[in-house]
Parts: sequence; structure tokens; C-alpha cells
Amino acid sequence: MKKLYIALLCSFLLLLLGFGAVSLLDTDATVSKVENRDLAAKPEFTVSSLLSGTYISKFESYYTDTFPLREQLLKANRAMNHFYYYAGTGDDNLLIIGSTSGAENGGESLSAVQKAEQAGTSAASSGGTKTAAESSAAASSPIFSADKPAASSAASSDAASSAASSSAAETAAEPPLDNPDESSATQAGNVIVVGTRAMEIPTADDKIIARYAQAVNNLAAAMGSGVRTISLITPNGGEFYSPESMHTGLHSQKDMISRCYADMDADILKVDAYTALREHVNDYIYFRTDHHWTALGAYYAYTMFCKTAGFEAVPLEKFQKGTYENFVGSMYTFTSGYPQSETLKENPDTLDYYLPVVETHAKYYADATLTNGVPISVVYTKLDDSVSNKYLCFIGGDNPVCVIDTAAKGPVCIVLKESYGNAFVPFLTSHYSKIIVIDPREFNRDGKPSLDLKTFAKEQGINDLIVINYPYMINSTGYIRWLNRLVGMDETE
Amino acid sequence: MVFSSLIFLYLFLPACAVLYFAVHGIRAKNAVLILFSLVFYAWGEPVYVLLLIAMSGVNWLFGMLLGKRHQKWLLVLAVVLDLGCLAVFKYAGFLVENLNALGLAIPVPKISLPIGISFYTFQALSYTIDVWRGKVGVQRSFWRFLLYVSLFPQLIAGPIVRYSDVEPQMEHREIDLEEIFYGVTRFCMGLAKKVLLADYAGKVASQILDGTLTASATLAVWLGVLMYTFEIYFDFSGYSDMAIGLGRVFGFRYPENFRLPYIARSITDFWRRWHISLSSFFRDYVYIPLGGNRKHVYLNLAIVWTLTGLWHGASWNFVLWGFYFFVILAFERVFKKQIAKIPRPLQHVLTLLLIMLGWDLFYFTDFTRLAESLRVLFGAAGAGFVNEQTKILLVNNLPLLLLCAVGCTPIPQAIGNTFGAMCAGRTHEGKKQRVYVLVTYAYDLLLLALSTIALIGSSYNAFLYFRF
Repeated sequence: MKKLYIALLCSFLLLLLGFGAVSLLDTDATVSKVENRDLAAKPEFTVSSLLSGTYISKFESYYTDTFPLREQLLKANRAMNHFYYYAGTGDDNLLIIGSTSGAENGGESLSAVQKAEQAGTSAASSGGTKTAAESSAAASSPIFSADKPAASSAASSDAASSAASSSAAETAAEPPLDNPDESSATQAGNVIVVGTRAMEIPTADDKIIARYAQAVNNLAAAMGSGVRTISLITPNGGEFYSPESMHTGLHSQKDMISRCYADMDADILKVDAYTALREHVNDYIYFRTDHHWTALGAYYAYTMFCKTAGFEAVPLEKFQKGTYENFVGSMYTFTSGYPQSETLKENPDTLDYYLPVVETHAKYYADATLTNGVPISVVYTKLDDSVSNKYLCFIGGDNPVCVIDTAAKGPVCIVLKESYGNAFVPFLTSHYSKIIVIDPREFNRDGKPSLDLKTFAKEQGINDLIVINYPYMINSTGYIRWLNRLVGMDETE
Repeated sequence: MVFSSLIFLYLFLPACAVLYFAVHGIRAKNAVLILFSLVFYAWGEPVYVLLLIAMSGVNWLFGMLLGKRHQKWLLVLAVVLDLGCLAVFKYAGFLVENLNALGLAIPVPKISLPIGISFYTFQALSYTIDVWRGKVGVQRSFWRFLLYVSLFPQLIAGPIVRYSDVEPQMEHREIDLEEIFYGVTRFCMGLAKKVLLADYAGKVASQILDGTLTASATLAVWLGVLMYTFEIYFDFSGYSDMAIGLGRVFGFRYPENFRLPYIARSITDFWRRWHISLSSFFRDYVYIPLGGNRKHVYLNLAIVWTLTGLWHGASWNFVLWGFYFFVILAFERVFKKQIAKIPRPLQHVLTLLLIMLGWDLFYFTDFTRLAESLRVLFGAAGAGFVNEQTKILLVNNLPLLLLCAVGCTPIPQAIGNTFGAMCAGRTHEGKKQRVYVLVTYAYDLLLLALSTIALIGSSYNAFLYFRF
């Protein structure tokens, strides 16, 4: 008996020691294939970082990230999650998880796409540097954490975009200063998977919605009377395809939108995208594996926009249409640590695009000085297979500024948007001679360039200011702050 | 450092064990344990490790002084120093905030809470008081006293080990293979409780309870509270299991800290089963000195439970939580006979409901959200009794829910005991025992492997009881 105990106890100790020794001696992996991300690098030792505790926490995430057999263990972890996130019987494939930020809290880059097309190479090795924010997100569970800024997960989901894109690297590298902290006590909403479709479910916060309306009022006031301000708030797919209780009550996007519009000044034009989308709910207007609308969904919103703004919408059949197959989008990435995501991957989306009917010339810029522009396409028709995020084909994704000159005779507009606007903007080319697309998330914060929209709009001589958002943004204190900062209003001060 | 981390499991622990068993003599073994314990503490608190050493030094010194002169002022001074230290590091901010709320304008001191201070202060305090009472001998060696206070298995989250529990083991410990094997098994079980149950239950709890409560259905919030009920038990008792197991490996016997608290029949019963080392501390060092059951018993109870609440955190909701238990305990005392007539199953159900409500008070430090949660729990707000989200939540978490529920009952223990009895019952000496040991070993390895897999995919590691 004694021998048995000694043998067992020694083998137990040897097992621990063995793993420990290998963990210290093996050459460290730097990239995780399972998670599509860079692993934490060994932190640099300084006395001050030791005393403040940051060295040790970084060392822990480095150690966890480079643990022997990590990739195999992660796969085992995912298998184990079949138990912890039971999907139900048959084809139910149910999942509900909390999401603090929504999938739109940071921009996803477009320059990567561009380089992918022009240089013909997309999968360069990644040179991103690790930051505290990222490495803390890095070791999160299960593989993917709901607390992780969606931008960095989206950026890293796609080798091409994280490799070449400067803006994605910036997003990942920025300290989490400007995240919507006031609402940190409560979650912005949930993500649910039902069958082959994953959706974000926003929750209304009336105080924040009122502040969004006020922010649009502030923008309109700053533009002055010569400029029309047009607000378009679109519902997302959760409004139409989720179980009833997830789009009623505090989750009713219809109510959120109408309350928000009611809080806006009377002279602001409000686009009723909701009604148009509701009518076409049986069409392919939202992706199932991505949080965006399809170009078709954006088209129906565009027809309502034209009604409101006094344009004549171009009939759908006038557009030349193209298709990307096998699009697996952000909602898959968001849920990729959970077993339910497998069904999403097995049932990818198809992305249709509609080419502008007029000739266009577009460039993107890193800031509002509009220098060093890089030519882009309004709609990319030849995205490389390595670009998994096909939604980036619309104006190349989220850039700080993108200017489209068109052959159409018409007024000049500025579009303030998150990525919901990307699929929408190409339709505007028939009506505006110049469209300046601005992503408010890329300005006036954390070392990003500054922009005074009032002066900028005057210089550009704009006629219309279009503000387009989906419900997560009208419930986001961070986004509202960035909108306000464009016209020098910062309610946090 | 926490037990449920890869660094602890695969570097710290094997290194400590190898060195500990390689060196000869109790002094060298103690030195290894002190060294590793200080590294263990400094890992999370590189600066406060000095506080830990200083606290040990002060109490060691007072122990020596009290051994020489049995004078009350010495004891009072020691108690004031210990509690003063706790007050400064744990309650200063809270105190100043409340004074400011009364109209003062003192700048709020920003002192971060040293990990485990509530635990090691109480350990040191119990020693000094016991020296005064003549219950334990004076420890003349500072190193051995430091070993008692800082020993890493129980350093940061209990159990609160009395000096009298381990006094002889400071100077003499046997290496008993069966004990070590038991320790390893106990450790693996504790690790699994923490990593495979508590952490996953905790994710569900915060998903529900940190969300917009008024948008949730009543049943969903109950599910959230239930998951928190599971989390806090498996987290804390898992930690105690790991501490007890590690103690056995190194030859220390720590008292049990939990005895299946959720099968209690009354709240009085619950507090005999939950965090036993804390409730017995308050019993022996506060309740009985105040007069115990003999005089003004309800006042004594009120004081003890307010302090118990406050011990758990510097926030009013913990005070409320403590007072909540005072009210129930007083009620159970008054209506003892009537309560005994309630059918037993109902007693269990009612007790569990009261415990869960207690955890709801415990969870929300923000009174607005606490009130919201109570309104939804009792159907006065929220999105109805049950909705689709709730159903999906229930489906997603059904396996975990069942596992946790079984884990709170005597069933796992009964299975182990039955198997042990079957193995020991046969006459073939040794043979069947051997099967028992081998099966246990395989079980340990399985739990370790599953825990490692879960840890790899998770950074959710902080023990809940760190805050206290």
C-alpha cells in the first residue's frame, strides 16, 4: 500500500512538474489559431510595474496564453462548453449571452480590404503590439468574452484586416478610456442565437435615448438653418426575428426609435426606415451570422429616405447586382467560444451588393484635413477570399473619413454613421454630387485626430447632414459623447 | 496568487512540494513554507506583504509581552492595533463617505483593500486573545508565528484557523502518505468546485443580475439569484476544500468550514454549516464575552450580526444583510416551538428561500438596484413571470443547474462513502482498498484535467471572498 501511495503521489507531482517545466522551456507560440488572435508577449520587467501589480497580471496572461498544449486544451474547452451552454434538443440551437457593448463599439477597418485588392497580398504577418487592455481581454472566457471590446475581436477575426490595417491596430491598442462607462453597471443588451440566426437584442434606456436625440439637436443647431439635418435610426434584425419578448417592452426597437424621434427638434427630418423594413420582413434584409443589415435592407431604408428628403429613389432593378457567397460575419465571431456558433458557421450568409448607377470616385482619409487620400471603391466587387468579413465591401468598412465624388448633379452631404451606414451610403451616390462619410468614433478622443464639424461643414458647403445609426448606438453613452464632441459639446464636462 | 491559476498549479505548487519534501528537519520545512507563503502573498500584493509581516510582528510581540505580564491594557492595546489596522485599510473610505453624507467634507482616502486582511487580522487577533485567556502557550519564535499567520493554504480566504488548532503542528509534523493522498483528493475536489461549478454559475448570475433588471422576467431573476447562491457556495467552500487539502499535504489539520449549508432546516442550522470558522470566531470572541445567552441575548445577537455583516464588506448592504439574519435568528428563537410543527420538507424550502433572498441583499451594493431586484423577484416589476429569454436561459444552463443542485446535497459524499465501504468490505486484504485508491486517483486526475481545460479558456479567476 505504501508503495502504491508513493507511486501515485510521485506521478501526480511529476505531472505537475512536467507541465511546469515545459511551460518554462518551450518556445512560445505567438499566435492562436483557434482564437484568431495574437497571444500575450512576455512583459518587460520594471520595478515600478512590479510594485503596481501590472507586471504580475501581465505575466499571468502571458503564462496562460503560452501554456503547453494550449490550442488542444482550447478545443477541449469548446467541447466542454456543449455541457455548459446546452443548445436544447433537435434543431433549437438556443443561446443567450450578455453583451456589454454591442458589436458596433469600435470601427472595423477598410484600408485592409483596399490593400488586399491592390497589393494582391492580404495575409501578412501581424505586427500588432499587445496592450494591457488587449491582454486582459485575451485570457477571457470562454475563449471569447462578452466584455471584450467587439472591435478587437472583429478585427482579429479576419487575418487580412488585422494584418494590414492601421486603424484596426489603433482600435485594439487604445486604452479603454472612452468606453461607455456610465452604463457599465448594466448591460447594453443580450446576444441570442436561435437556430441558424444570431441577433443582438438592445435594451432601452430612456435617459440615454433622450441624450442621443439631444446630440442630434446639437448637431442640427451647429449646422445652422441653411443645412437640413436628416436622422435615420434603423432597427436591427432582433426586432423582426427574435422571440416576441425580445422585441417588446424595454426591447421594442420600434418604441425606442419613435421615442427618440419625438425628442428631436421639429425641423429635423426623420426617416421612418422601420416601416419599410417591416414590410419586407420576409425578404433577405438582415444577415443571420452578422449584426448588419443586407444591402437589400439598406435599400428599403433608402427608399424611405428619398421620400423624406425629397429625392426620387432609383428602382432596385436599375442596379447591377453582384454576390459574395459564404459570408460568416461578426455574430459568429462574437459567439465563437460557444458551441451554438457551429451552426452559424455551417450556414453562412450570402452577401448581395448593388453597384452605383453613376460614376464615382472615392478616397479615404485618416483625418479631416483631407490630405493623403487613398482611392477606394464605393462597392468592392473582387474581395479576396481571405477577407472573411465581406461586409467590408461597402465603402471598404469604417474609416475616419471617406469622400465620394459622383457624376450626379446634386447637393453635398455629410453622413455621420457607424457601420450600418456603410451599406446605405452607395445608394446616396445617385442624388449627391459629393458625399463625405464620417465615423464619429474616430475623432476627438484617445489620441485620435480632432474634428470641428461646424467649421468643416462650412468649408465643404454642405446642404444635408445625415445621421444614421442602429439602436445600440442610440443607447450608447460613448457614441453620444463622440457625436457631441464633433460640435464642441461634451456633456461629461 | 490564487489556487485556481495555471501558475499556481503547475509552477508554484510543485516547486513548493518538491522543496518541502526534499529538505530535512522541521525548521527547514517551515522555512520553505514561509518563503513560499510570502511569495504567494506578494504575488498579488507586492507592497502589502510588508503589512502582513508587520501585523505578525506586532501580535507576536504582544503575545510575548502578555506571557510576561498578564495586564489587561496590553491586550486592549493589541486589539485596538489589530482592529485599527483593519479599520484603516478596509473601512476608512466607507467611514469618511458616510461622515460626508452627514455634512462633512473630508477627502475620501483611496486605500486599496489588502487581499485577505480580514482573515489574517482575525487569526492574529484570536492568538493574542487566547494567550491572554491562557488557552494557548506563547509562541517565542517569530518565524513560527509568521508561519501560522502567513501559511499560504489559508492565508487569503480562510478558513480562519485558530492558533490552538495548529499549535502542536508548528513544531512537529508527520509525513503521512494517506493524509497527503487525502489532501490531494480534497484539493482537486475544491479546485473543481471553484473552476467547474462556481465560475460558470457566476457567469450566468452576473449575466442576469448585472443586466437591466426591469427588462427581465421574475423567473429569470430568481434563476440569477439561484446561480449566485451556487456560485458563492462552490467558490467559497471550494476554496476551503483546497486550503484543507493543501494543509493535509504539508501536515496541518485545519477545521472544516462548511457542512452542506444548503440542506439546512433553519437559518440557525444554516449558520452552523456555513463559514463555520467565522461564526465560531464571533461566538467565542464577541457573543460569549458580551454575555451570550445569559443576558440581553437579543442585543448580543444584534451586535454580532451587524459585525458579521460589516466584516463581509464596507458597504451598507452588508450591514443590512447581517441585520436580516439577526431578525430571522431572533424570530426562530422566539417561535421555536411553532416552527418545529412545520413539515420538514417545507422547512427546507423556506430556509433555502430565505438564504437566497439573503444572497440577493449580499449581491447588490447599490440600493437602487437592490430594490429593483426585489420588485422583480416578487412580481411588482419586470417583464412578467416568464418569457422566451428565461426559457432559453433555462435550457442553456440546465445541465449546470442540475449538477450544482446535486453538488449541494449529500449525494456525492454518499456515493464516495458507499464505494469506499464496498472496497473495504471485502475480505481480500488490501486488494479492494487498492481499487479504491486507484479509482480515487483517476478521479483526481480527471478533475485536474477538466479544471485545467476550463482555466485555459478563462481569466475569470478572482475568488469572491477576496473582497472581505
